[in-house]
Amino acid sequence: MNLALAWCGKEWRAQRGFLLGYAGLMFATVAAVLTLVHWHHGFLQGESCLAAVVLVFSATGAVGCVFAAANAVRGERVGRDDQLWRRLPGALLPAFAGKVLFIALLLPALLLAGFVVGQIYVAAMSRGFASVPAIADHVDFYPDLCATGCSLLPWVFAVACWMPGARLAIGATALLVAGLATAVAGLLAPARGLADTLSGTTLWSWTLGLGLAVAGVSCVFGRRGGSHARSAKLGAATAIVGLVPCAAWLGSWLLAYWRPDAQRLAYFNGAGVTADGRYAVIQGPAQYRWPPFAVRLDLQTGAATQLSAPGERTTGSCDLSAEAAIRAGFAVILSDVATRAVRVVELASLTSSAMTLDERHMPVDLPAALAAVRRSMSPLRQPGNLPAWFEGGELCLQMADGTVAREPLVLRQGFCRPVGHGFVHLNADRQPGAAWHGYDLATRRRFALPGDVTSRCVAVAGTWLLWPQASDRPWLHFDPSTREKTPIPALPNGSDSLGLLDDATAVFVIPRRNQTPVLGLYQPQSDELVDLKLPAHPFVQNERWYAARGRGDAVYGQRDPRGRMLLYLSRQKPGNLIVAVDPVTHACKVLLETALMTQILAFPNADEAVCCEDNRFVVRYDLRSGARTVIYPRPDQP
Amino acid sequence: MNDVLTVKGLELGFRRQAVLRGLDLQLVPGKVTVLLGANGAGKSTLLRVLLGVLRPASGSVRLFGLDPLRAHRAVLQRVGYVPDTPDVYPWMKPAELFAFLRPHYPTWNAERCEQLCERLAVPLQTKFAALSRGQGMKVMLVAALASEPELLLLDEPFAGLDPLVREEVLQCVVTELRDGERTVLCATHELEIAARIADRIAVMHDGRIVRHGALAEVLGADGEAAQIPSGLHRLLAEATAAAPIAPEVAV
Repeated sequence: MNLALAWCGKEWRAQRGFLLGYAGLMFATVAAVLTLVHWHHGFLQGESCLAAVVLVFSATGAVGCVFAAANAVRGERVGRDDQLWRRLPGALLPAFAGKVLFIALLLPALLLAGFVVGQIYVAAMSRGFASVPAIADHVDFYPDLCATGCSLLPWVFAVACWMPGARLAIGATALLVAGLATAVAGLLAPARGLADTLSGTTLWSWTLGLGLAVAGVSCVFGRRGGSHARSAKLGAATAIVGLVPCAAWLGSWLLAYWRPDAQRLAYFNGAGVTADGRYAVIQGPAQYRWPPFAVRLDLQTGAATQLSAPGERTTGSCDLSAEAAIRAGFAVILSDVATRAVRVVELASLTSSAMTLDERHMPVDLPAALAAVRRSMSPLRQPGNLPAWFEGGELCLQMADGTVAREPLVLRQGFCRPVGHGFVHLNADRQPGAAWHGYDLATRRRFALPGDVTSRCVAVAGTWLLWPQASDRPWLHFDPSTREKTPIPALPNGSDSLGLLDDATAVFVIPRRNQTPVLGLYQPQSDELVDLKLPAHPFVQNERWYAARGRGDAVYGQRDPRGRMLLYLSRQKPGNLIVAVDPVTHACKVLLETALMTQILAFPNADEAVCCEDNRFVVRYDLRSGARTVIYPRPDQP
Repeated sequence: MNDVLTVKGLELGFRRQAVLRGLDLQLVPGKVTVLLGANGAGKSTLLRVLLGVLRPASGSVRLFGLDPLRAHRAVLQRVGYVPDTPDVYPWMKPAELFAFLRPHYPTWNAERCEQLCERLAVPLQTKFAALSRGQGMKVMLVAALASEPELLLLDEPFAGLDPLVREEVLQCVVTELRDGERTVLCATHELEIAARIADRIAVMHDGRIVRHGALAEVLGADGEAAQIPSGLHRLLAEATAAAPIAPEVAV
């Protein structure tokens, strides 16, 4: 310890001249530059800005440690080499300890010096000091960056030991760090969210620990009977050995990211269930900050199989919903957002084929089985629940007699959404004020939507209901042929359509100030709004609930096997009430009351429902008894 | 003290160029051995190996029975070294150097250091950068002797000194050698110096010790003279004839 202190003191005497010169020159330069910028832009205003200026001075001071670390090695070279610290009895270890101690003491000293000079500067420029809490806020914003920057100091020392005469140590360290950072970033870049998960504390402490070890070996063992070449050999070997567990640690995270345990998702959403009720597709991430991936869930065994890489999710087009594809036994996975490349995975066999799903040039060249799904299960619906779809540059409309009417129509933009008996899509010409176009499937008319409405409209058998952008205006009737707009006082702004109960009736949820909303059945032909009589259930009567439609984009909403439309009443605390509305009698019946937020994925039969519960469970409910069976995660999983 | 220094089969090279080629050397305790050799013979390299500054490619080096690389502290605390040029920091003053060296040597004798400084008129408060070469060498000599080493290694300590300083330093060395029982290995190519201080001569050529023995033995080995560079042998012989050998250091 005595020797280490002697070397520490020696280092201070060796470097004090340089450090004083550095501090004087750099602080003066920073002050001059900031003053010039302030004179031109007047930026020295506000607590946050003053704090940032003080931190700039502190950081400038801290950077001096980088030079000091390199000088700690370079300064040993006297004459032709650095013989003295190698020939003094057992001096290398205390020399290393003393120099590390010197740098460790210098860092806070230079930070403090920068802090003081910065405070003096801001006080001289703006009549006050920067507050410490504001400075702490800035430091809190970049804690990992600050810690990692400081943890690189031993590496500068180590690399200085490796370089002939300790020359170019800072540049070589920068190159080494940049090389390593590029390699790590190259591994982490495709793994979105993984970098955030990897603890910054772990990284900087590992960087510091390994840097000290490499510097110690390079100095103490490398210089014992050797020169920079021996230091480089031993130091590099130590670094490689030290990086092995680091690489293994990183590799384990990458493996967990790209090949996650499908049985342990952080949370998930249900994407759909096959028609035979055997498989469900759920999507969720393995950890909260990671992108979700698709998982095939065997509803009989609870076994989960990864279908896609993280970030690849199920997708569809406006005439082929992801849920419809799953119901037919296929998961359409969007594997490249830029090229709209997709993979179609057959859920039973898990065989996959690649193709391009380009909505700009709909229809898509799909396999025959999937094309049949699109024709029969397209979300685009005409009155009478007749499907419409795109094929070969044409809009195909199935007639009641089974024939197919075709009309040339190519949508050139990538967004198209069914809205009742029609669909909206982005205007190809991107004309201001008329961004959206509508197509009425009842009248087969294409028109521009008025510029002052949202795209959340509803087409009901040739009549269009529009939601104005202005928050104080009610919904509007819109006649595409005359472009006449008529306000609907019964549907105030904020009302939302939950789907079509039948070809003439739209279900609306109508907000009421400080009260639960009202569910109403609106018929555009008669301009009549009828309240939907909800069952006399404690949930309905006692809770502050809000209503939502069922899953998917179905024009007629989610339906149970008896053809009843499902409405979801939810409250702030967990749990919801699922109500079934009879389209003929308009009678409402409670289908399911749950303690957790629940979405019905499918009905395997008339008396059972497979549900996604609280984004954590897939469960099977017996609709008669309310019995609940957890399918996923499997009960045997911890 | 029976085994101060033993070197066997020492080999060392720089960038594939061999400098020491199977060098063998054993010092006689309490004697002054002068390592003679032309420039580039490998004298300084040998001393740097003994100090643990360089790592031999093969062979063994034992100082006091220990490997200087493995037992660096234990060995080097008993060794004093005067380099051919001062190898200390130019910003340092001699007083600071002595204070810095002191904790490295348990046997450091501050009083002796002071005496030596007085005798050699060492400027204690002048930075090395401002010292002359002669003054610098005086400081190095004081630094080497103040720890009262059992083995003193001198690497061309008189080279490049002006005659007055050279005589002053030489007198100091001779006095120190006379006072103590220490073993000395002095590398030089100056035959006059060698003649004044040497008990034994080791002649080094091409990375090997080609002659080693008492001074008279070496000079009398005419049959082996072909192995010694002829010019060096002639100069050595002339210098030995011209300079009377002090009785204290004669074999």
